[in-house]
Amino acid sequence: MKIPRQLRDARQRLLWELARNGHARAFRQLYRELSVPILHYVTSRLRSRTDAEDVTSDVFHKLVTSMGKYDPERGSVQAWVMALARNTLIDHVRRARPTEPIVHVADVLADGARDALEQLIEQEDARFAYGILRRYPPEVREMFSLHFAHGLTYRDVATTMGLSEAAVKQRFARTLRELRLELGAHKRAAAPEPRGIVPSPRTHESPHTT
Amino acid sequence: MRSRSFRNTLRSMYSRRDAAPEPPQELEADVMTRYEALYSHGRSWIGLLNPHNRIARYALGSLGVLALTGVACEMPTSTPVELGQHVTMQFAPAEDAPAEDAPAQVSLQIEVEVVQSGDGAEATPLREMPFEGRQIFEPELQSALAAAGADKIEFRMRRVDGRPSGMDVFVWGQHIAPGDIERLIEQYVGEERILSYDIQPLTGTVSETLGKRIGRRLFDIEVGGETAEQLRASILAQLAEQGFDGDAVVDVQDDGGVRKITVEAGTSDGSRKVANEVIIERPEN
Repeated sequence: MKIPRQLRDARQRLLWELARNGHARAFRQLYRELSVPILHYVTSRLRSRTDAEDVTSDVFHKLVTSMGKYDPERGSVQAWVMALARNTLIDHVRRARPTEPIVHVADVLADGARDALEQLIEQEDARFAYGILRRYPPEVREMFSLHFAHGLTYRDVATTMGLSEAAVKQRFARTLRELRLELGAHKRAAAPEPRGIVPSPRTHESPHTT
Repeated sequence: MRSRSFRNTLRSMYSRRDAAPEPPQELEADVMTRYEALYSHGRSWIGLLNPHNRIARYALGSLGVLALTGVACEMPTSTPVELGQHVTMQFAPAEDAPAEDAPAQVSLQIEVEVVQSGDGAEATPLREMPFEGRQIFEPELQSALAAAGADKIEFRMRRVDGRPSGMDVFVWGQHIAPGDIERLIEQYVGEERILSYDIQPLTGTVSETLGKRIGRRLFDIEVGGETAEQLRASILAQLAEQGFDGDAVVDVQDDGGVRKITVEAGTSDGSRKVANEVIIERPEN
């Protein structure tokens, strides 16, 4: 049974509060709840499973040493840990390829190891939408990935990416509007011609002709 | 297009055939070991005896030394402290930003520790020291951070192909909250300019000798496109102009496009010499 997001966030905040006060069982539970989505996020951006596990390990090591830095006012525990994961990912990519321009890092954050994504998208509409989205800046693509692929709220997307919630909402609103228009036009253009019934010509004859 | 089907279409863009991977078992064990080393001790005084307890080790070490030697004004203690915050920023790509061909003029602040003995010595509080020198990076942000309680601020700009790609800001001082730094970064640098940023504590180990005071003097040095020899002479001359009367050794090394300047300086009263290493990421002349 899927737990409502608000309930999950409240529980994780409680677990965090207990963990930072030395409750090992609470921390273990928190780890078990966060490790899967964090590893999923990192794995989706790195080709190597080994690298992904190393980065995930670094994320949780940072979590252990920075428990006091989480501010509940800024977002959920998961969003905060996602932000740690994002920054650790940036460091990893830059270490691995120090001469690569910053744009490469942004692309990794936005799309990751998704060369075969288009083949995975079975629906033609989704494939078309993805093609449109690829034209957008990496930052926008990353927002969409965090929201639609990893289930983060707009607020949590903002926390993860270090942006204001207002800026995230504005970007989403504009991009969704544009995507909807293009997708709608694409569907209309692709729709088959309507099969109409051609009426036979009528003749006007008086029924009372004699 | 209906909203719900549109959002479902977007979600299906990211749906994957493979399930989310499971973390390896050994990762959980490793993380728990680290957690217990740092946190579990806080539940009980018994935890102070935990040899892996870093804080307890320092505290017990200090107490043990004092117990053995009595009140020892000369006994050293080492304490890990948080000295400030380190902000790492990655800038969003700005294709229209001009590439900088000329060598960057960078302001450095070289810190010299001065140990003054005697109860009558007064340490100059860092907060009262003026910010001298040319501030070429984000002057408004620097002023705002100073007003918010920072003792000292250092900027280090990173460039790729001559264009700014990111910046490191070292905010020294224990009186400025990380939340204030974040707020000021967003306000003065601009969210549209920043791809991401991270704030981590600056920690260090402060060694003090009980009964002595520590003061600091800051020197602002400008470096430019000189040769190594010219740079050495320039730094020494600037130190002398600003009243530094101790010994200074300047070492300049150019390697692979990176210039590394090491300044080791000490005062004439025999205090410790402090090496300050500054890396300037720019092409060699």
